[in-house]
Amino acid sequence: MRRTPHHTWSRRSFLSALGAGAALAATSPLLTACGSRPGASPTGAVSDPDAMGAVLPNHVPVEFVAPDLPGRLGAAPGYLSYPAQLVRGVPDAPGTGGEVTAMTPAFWPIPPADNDYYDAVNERLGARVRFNIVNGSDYAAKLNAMFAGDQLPELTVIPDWDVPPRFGEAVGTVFADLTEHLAGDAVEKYPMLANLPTRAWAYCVRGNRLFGVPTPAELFAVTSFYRHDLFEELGLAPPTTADELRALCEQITDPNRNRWACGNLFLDVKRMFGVVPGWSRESSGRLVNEAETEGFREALTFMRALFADGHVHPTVAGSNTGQEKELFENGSMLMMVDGLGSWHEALARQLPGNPAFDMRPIPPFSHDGGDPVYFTEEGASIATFIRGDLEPERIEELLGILNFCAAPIGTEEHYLVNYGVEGVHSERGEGGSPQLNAKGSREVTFTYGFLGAPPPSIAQAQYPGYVQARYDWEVAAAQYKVSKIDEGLHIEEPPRLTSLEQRLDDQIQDLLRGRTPLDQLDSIMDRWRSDGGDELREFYDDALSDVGR
Amino acid sequence: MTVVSEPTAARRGPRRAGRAAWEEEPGPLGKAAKAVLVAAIALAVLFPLYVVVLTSLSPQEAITRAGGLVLVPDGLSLAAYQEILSGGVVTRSVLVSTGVTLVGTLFSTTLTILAAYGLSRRDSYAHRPLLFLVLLTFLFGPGLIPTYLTVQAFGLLDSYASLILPTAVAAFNLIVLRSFFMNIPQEIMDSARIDGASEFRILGTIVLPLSKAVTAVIALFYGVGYWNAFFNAFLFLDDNRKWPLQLILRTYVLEGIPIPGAGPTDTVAGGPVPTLAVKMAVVVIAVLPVLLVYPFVQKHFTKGVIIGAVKG
Amino acid sequence: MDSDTTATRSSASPRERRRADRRRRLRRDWPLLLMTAPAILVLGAFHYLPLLGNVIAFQDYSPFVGILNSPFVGFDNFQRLFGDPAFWNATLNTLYITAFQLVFYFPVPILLALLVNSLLSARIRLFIQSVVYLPHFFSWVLVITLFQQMLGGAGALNTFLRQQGLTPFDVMTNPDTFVLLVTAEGIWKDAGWGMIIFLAALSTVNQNLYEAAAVDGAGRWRRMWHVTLPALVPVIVLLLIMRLGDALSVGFEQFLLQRGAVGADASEVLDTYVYYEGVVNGDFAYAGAAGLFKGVVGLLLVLGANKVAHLLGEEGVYSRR
Repeated sequence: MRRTPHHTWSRRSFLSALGAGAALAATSPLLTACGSRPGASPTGAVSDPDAMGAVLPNHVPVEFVAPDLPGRLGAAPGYLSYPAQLVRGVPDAPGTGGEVTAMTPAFWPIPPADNDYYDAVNERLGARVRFNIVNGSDYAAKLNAMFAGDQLPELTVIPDWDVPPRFGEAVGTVFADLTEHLAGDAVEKYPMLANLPTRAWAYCVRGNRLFGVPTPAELFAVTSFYRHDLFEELGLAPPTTADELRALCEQITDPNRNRWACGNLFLDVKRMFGVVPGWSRESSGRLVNEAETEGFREALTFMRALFADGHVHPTVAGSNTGQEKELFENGSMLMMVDGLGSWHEALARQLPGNPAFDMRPIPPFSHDGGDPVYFTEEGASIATFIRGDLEPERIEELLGILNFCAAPIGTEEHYLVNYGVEGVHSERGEGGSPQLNAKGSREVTFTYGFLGAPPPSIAQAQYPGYVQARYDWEVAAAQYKVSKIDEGLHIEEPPRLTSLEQRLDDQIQDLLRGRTPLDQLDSIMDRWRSDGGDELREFYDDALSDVGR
Repeated sequence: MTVVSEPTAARRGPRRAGRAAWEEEPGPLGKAAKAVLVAAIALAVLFPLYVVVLTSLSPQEAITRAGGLVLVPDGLSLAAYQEILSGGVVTRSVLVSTGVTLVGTLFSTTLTILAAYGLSRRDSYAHRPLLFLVLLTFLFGPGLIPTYLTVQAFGLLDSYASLILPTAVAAFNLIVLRSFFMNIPQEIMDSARIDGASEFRILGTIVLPLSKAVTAVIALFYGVGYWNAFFNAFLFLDDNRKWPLQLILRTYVLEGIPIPGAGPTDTVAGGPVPTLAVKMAVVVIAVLPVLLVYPFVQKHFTKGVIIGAVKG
Repeated sequence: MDSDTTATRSSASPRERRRADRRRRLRRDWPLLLMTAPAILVLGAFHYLPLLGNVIAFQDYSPFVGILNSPFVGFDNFQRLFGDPAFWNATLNTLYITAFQLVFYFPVPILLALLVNSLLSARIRLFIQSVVYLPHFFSWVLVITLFQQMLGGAGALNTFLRQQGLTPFDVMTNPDTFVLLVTAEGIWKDAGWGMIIFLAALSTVNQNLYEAAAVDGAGRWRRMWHVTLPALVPVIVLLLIMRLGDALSVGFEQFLLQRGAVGADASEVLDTYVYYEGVVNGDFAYAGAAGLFKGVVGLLLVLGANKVAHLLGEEGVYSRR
């Protein structure tokens, strides 16, 4: 199975679905400089829009094999078969024969420390990359300790959610400023990096300088899925309005048949009612938090009713033990919110035992049947940072290695990095799709793939109909794409106010689950505003105005 | 010299294979109540255990049909165990864990016995402030980063010693062991001292033999601690080759822990791997060595070890 | 003059005597100190040394700047901590759960040990001893999943109730009975493991005392009361005091996992509060302040409980002078 770095958003969705979204949100914005006054302008975290343009690398797309379904509207291109003929994309070995140290997280069992896959990639790289792999759940703690002890490797992969506190203060002293190496046409020395979209690079700009090389993210992270096969069996169609969704739930839920309508759909219900995640400007220009909007109230009322009427599977309502996938896949729950990347994973799990298994994202819809909105994710949520004390030549060598790892589909390098050596680690299966064999599954994990990655593409051709369905949904949703107001900005909230969101989220959960009466929403929001919500609004207003948003 | 006589009952084969002569026959009602209680307890533990083992042996289809844990056998598959045990990563880590557990348990238990005895004499020099120092470590824990910096300063990063030294002495174990030592009649030790026995000798020939059970329990606590530990390992080790078993097993169960940093796992490998089965197999693998070791600890839970000890 | 010297001598002589006594004891006890030294050294190097790092509780600490260079802010972190009503709520919740568990959880391992100890069949006793502690090795995720599977809204019990046409009830999402739920989960997971130490204590009971008591005509219960329990009391008192030292910790993952289901009001404990306020945000200083608070409260409770134990004639954690 190919391991795409989808966990970025699966985790996001996962946490949000648990009502822990605030915890995540609180991890990502960087804390401001110490002792900053509330409402003070963020310190060097937000980049000036004009200056930002000057540090961004040029976008020079390369395409080695034309996709069957060309990327449109920013959505990923689709390959109905994995390219049979591969091209050598990086002719010369970027390394100079030495050892390179790197640290990556892992969300899967680690490979043996010495293996043929490493050897094969290292040979092409002309460098021996020594990976320090750390469990994803322990990564933030390990990073913090290594920062404190000044023990960083040459290449450090840092996912958005593990960014250490006060990173904004430290990034320039700890990590190499890559502006000189990559800004403008400098990037063209590294064609695979020049192939990365500009919005991905924007993620790496901090204080008008470029730090790190991004792993480009997909346009959308999460959505609602439904069991297409079971819907057909029951004669149901996916909803196109809020009323239809509700009626659908009534039809599906039947505890006596061990069948419930859905998991916690709140994340997508909010989207359905057009709620802008985080902060947004009203037509008057006033900045409002999502929880202050009318759409939020409607979404809350809607989802609360689903909980109250028993449409949410009791196991989902009763704990956070992460059983949603199992309940969805076994048909005791027919709709759930999940990351888009979990789709083909579920297919890998279920199709061998149940060839009829068919899950699909609900086609774009809104509460009233009008035009829906789909908010796009950040252009990247993982980046590889280069240690700050290295000589320029060494930095260039390391960028060459990242360039190699970012080679797109159709190249030998892409195959090698993702599937190892054909015949040794993987064989071509259905639709020419590379399938890892037993040796491959042990050795080929996402390691080099973390160091550098090409723009996303949909290429899991081994699952019948999957590429087309995924592509169709993404393009359909991309028609309604909207950016969040703070996209690409690393706004650092004052430490004192970072916990505000968690408390609000706790109270929202109480409202959702019917533990507090619905009419409390207003007083909850009043308290939130006086406890610091208004300060936070002022703070964001300043930060956003500074960059003209 | 003091003589510690062997308990009579303990040496009579499988001890108390029946009632002692002086014990009365329990009433039928009491017997029945006790039987029900014991059966309920056994069931409360064994049924979930059965569910865990069964799920670990179930194919994906069975898990899907059950919608989670499997309660009724529905096909058997060793895939989960093959998945975990193939490839040599786990095998190697078992060796690491075994070594660390053996060395660590020996080291910790020795230090703890010595200190517990050293602090157990009621009027000994400076025992109160020292004991207080020990007690404080139970109440105040150092943070993660200072601990890392300390281990770094001692030059122990990436060493096996870093898996043992930082957690080598547990105040709780020390204090509990000391309390057991103090409950041994002082007269025995005093008379030994009068006989000119050294403190080491008293500890070795009187105190320890009388405290076999609790010493075994303390060793068990340490052993289980070392076996289950992963925190020191992920923090101090950079070389994946040195990872102990628990850290490796942890990579199989990341999913479903809603703690930031714990992303859902990707599918574990190429095929349709029953991930829940793998998780349950991890539980089984982790518990197995404890099941193997526990009888050796239990052996010491014999009654009457102390009788007939006092003799001038 | 004369009186002066007398006064000096009389005031000096006890001090001197004490000093002499100390010297004598040091001469006598140095082997004991030698035995204690290795453990103290290890604790000093790997516990006390990093413990100095807890000064970050008084700093505006950043890992990038380091402990040595982060500015001191006095009691700011504590002021923030104590000024937050949510902190007090979490503390009260924690103490409530601790108190509840002291009454309904703490005795269970003791009773279990007595029960196991009283089993006549060696085979059954060994068997129960060997399995009852196993749930200790289950993760909280697994424990809660198992409870969910039995007692949850879609669990075995409620499926049965529905089949019988009865109203299902879901204890997994009821904030009012949450303390019962977490205690039941805790007992199931750890009572068997907690039993082990009491089994060890029971093994030190002098068997002859039972026989003597029986000869004196004491029945089963009286023997337990007069022979077994007195042997257990020192251990029970000790563990009770140690538990009090940990009074502000009742678990973390167990509560985090069930937070959504019952809400923060019921499930917020000090450790989850600190996690959300400090750890998640990387606010190590705030978390450090909360850690110190926990330690101080634990220390006061231990000292207080120790004093009470002494008044009741028990040894406690350590003896009075």
